[in-house]
Amino acid sequence: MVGMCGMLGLVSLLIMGIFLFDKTKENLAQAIKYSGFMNLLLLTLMVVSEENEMLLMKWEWVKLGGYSLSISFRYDMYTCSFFVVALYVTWNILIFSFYYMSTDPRVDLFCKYLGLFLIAMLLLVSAEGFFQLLIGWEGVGIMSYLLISWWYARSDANTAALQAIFYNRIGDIGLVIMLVWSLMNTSDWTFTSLYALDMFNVFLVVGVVLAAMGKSAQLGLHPWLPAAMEGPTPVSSLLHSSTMVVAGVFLLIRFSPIILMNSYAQAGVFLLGTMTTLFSAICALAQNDMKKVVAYSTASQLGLMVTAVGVGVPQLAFLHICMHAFFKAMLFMCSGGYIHGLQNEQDIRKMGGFLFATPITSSCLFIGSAALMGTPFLAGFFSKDPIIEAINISNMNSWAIGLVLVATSFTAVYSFRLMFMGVGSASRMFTLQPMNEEYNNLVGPLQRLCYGSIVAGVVFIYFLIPYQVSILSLPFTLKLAAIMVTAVGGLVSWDVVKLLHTSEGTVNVNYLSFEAQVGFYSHIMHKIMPKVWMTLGENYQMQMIDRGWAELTLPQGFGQNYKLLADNINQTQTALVKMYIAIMMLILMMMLMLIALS
Amino acid sequence: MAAVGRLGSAAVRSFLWRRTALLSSARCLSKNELPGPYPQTPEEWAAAAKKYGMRVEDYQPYPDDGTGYGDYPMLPEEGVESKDPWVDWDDKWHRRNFGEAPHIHIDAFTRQRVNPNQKYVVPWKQMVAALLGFLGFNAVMLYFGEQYKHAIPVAPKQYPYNDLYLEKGGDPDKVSEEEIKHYEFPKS
Repeated sequence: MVGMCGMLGLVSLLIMGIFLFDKTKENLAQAIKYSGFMNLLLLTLMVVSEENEMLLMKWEWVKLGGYSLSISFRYDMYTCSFFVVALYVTWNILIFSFYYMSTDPRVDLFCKYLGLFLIAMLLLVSAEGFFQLLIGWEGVGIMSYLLISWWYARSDANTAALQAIFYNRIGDIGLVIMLVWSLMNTSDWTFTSLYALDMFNVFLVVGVVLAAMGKSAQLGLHPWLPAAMEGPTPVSSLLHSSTMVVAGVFLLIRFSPIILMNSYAQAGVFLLGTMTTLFSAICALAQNDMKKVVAYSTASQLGLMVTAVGVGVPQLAFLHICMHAFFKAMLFMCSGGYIHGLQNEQDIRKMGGFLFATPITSSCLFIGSAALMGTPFLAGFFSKDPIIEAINISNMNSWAIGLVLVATSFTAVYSFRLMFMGVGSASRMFTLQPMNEEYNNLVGPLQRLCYGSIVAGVVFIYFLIPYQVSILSLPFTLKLAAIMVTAVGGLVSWDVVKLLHTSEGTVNVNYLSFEAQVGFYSHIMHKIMPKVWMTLGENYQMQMIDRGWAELTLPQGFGQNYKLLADNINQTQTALVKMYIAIMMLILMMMLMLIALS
Repeated sequence: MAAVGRLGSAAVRSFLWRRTALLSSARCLSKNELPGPYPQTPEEWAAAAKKYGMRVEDYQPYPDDGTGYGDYPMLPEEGVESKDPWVDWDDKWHRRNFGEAPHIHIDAFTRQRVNPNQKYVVPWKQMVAALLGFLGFNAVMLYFGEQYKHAIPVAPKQYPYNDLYLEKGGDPDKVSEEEIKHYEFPKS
């Protein structure tokens, strides 16, 4: 039966691939929807049959001596669950795109790009072999580039797309290191053979972590993620929920058995995650662009997922990926609804009072934010709370654990700020804005994702078979730590934001602060790194080698020297007999000398 | 031998030192305007300055250290973005006038590449200090956090010899014979 499940999963992928060529975008949406339900059926079958073992469907593609390269799909609980979530979320995003991109003349192509983006991600997730992983990985990268630069006439969009590509290329160096190491040490380049080695290797793990840093926008390679907000909102929604950014975390989850073999590697991943979650949460505190707030919150949650891998609970990181997909996609859609309604205004300082104009969108924003904060019994609670519990009980870096709690409270701070400035407070938007919700393609996806954000946590926790036993013993204070810091953060935020927006002229807001300027990271690194590399490249690679020695000794050097030789020989062509006789004698003498010497 | 050495050295110098790289990154120059040999005499110096449309006082070539810049002038590094946008430039995209010698590395200073003299609202040093301060402070604290790791005991620590009653400063007259146990391993 499990074999049948895997086969049907593959069929669903094929169906989507076929419908990418269909002329109408509605059919693609239907294909994604039915694929999602098909995978839900498969997941149900897997749960009922109590199977969570992987299934390999292996098709040997190339065989060279003892080495074989195969296309193979790995259907385990991770893959199947992710398929369901990703398909469900993408279906809704696609429907939302019909509303959001309705005036775009190339909306059909846009939807196809979204579909291709999803397929690349699903290929990545279901990859058993590294070759397939590479296809999915790079497919996600190139589709993100095309989608972020969708409005290609905008310079900012192009720059953002290039940023995404370049930062991911840095991460891909790690992927290449990992791939090469695996190629040299396994016979068929698959996860199974890698696990069978049961061996920790520094190059492998460094490569994996670097690749994950790039794709999942961890601290150091993070600036592309907020910059990607220049793309259309459905792209942001898909990119931040179920594709692209979670690919890095997923890679870490797949490699977690190897990472967790070494305490240093584990600590490194843990610290990377904690610093990312804190830094991004700090940046989210002071952003005024609605999408940027949500984008930084994604980066912060990605940091939390990486932290979960580092603390040794990758299954909870995966759970958070799934839960996060629901409410993050929904939050972006809410932002998109507001942005459209306000004629492309994204500044939350010019919003407010939407509760009455757009009750459904506002309710969804509220529920999504609440789920993001980890409010009990919403989706986020069932993944975020156990992660923080696992961190609290772990024997890890005490300062880092404190940072995670601070970042958790900051989640509440920026979420409440967003709700207050967007939904609550007095309206600060321009008058006569066409704010309304008379679009089924806006309201429908929001409602469906809202249901997901409410019930998905319970469903996942209750039905899915856990890979590891949950934490059973925890002091009462630590059990409540996550909720307590969230509550404190929320209360403080509500109070401070209210104070900021009700007392005129008494509070000085610094818009050039560390957090508002996102740690000055982009300013500094985007100046230093290009300067260093361009200077080195211009001075040494290009001037000294390409245009110096390489030219002098190779093409132009040959040319110049032959020209010199030819010029000298030309001197002999004087049409004087005595010159020719002299040359003849010279050659004769040389020949005689050679004969004599030999 | 010394003469041969000097001759060899002179040959190498004449081959390399007096040469310029055959091409320049300043691709917009015509063939005749490409860098020539490093100017040695005041006359060559003046001719080179004239060639690049500069005053002799302003003209300063790159050092003749083998990097092959020849007589090309050492111009200030200036990004296109920071040039005055309101000047009526002949070439508006590159913000450059006709006949004006561009920087030898003009490729690096075009739009969307490097702008070395970019002005920031927040001073550069302040930005660097803020970022390094944040990262440095956390690095130091993480170091201490690694030294004192987070650990939650689930039961009091158990010591042998009557839980080290005497070693912990207990009254020797009141030593209890009963063994203190906070936990025990179940027998299988």
